[in-house]
Amino acid sequence: MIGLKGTLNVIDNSGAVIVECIRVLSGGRFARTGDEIVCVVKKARPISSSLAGTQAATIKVKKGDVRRALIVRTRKEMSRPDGRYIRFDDNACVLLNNKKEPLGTRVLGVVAAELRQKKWMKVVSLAPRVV
Amino acid sequence: MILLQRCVQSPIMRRLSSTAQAKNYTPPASVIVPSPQYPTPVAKKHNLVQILSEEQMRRRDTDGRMHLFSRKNPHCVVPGSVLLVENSTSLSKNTTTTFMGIVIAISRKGIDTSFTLRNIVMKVGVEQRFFLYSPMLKTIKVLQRSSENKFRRAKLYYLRDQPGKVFQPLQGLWKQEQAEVAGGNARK
Repeated sequence: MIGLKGTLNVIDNSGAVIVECIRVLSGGRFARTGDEIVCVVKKARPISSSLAGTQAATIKVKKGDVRRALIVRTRKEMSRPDGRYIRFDDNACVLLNNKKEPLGTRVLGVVAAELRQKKWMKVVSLAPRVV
Repeated sequence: MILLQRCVQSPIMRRLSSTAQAKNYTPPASVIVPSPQYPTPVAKKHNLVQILSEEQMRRRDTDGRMHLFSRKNPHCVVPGSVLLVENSTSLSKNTTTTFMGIVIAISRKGIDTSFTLRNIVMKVGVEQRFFLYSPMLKTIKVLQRSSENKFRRAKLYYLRDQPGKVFQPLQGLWKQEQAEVAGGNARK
């Protein structure tokens, strides 16, 4: 249940570390797993010139950028169609570009299986573990 | 569906019922023998709902899971035990998902009895709540039953903040389980 001012961890390699939600795109007050949000990058990995070429190349965002994101984990329990409930210990998201594609090239961490139902196949295929 | 217990006895049945042949009698294929019925419920003192829910639980209890969580069972699942749950994701396909974790809560509510498993997956804590009598729940396997003195609470929500070393042996148990399954498959 992410609403305005809700902070999320970013679990891809786009360069952002923590983002803050500024708008829930589905129109509701709160966003759940599999929903798209607009967010501001609050904390990002530094792009210093001393970094290796490939590492610096993957960092696409800096602090203060406004981007879209897809929520992949929530601390609020979500119900599955068969009656199961699942809850994670943190809120996490993956940054997206305007074409609803992931901005980063890798996803680092567990994602919820709700993404599959909501047709975010690209993110699911990048995820190392889907629960 | 209430069946008539006493039907008109044919001369053959009358002769057979008095001998040992009655026990070994197998009806011909054309005869439809109904499956054994559950004991006729007796509704006394407005306990009809209780009886119906008990019957529902008995009908759903196909593999003895009711006994696993029954308080009368001295070897029942207690909070702190490690469980491996296999859940079918779709009724049409044969796909299943497995989840292993420590039982942190058991909520006993008749047919809505549920238990919550907690595990740490890729450094993130994940909790899943399963309903015991759900038809999607395929198998429950107790990997480790905790001793009574280890977890002295009914609900182990404190493990979210103070896990200690509780979740460390789970990885080893999972590998042991995988090895057992692989060994079983190899033997087949």
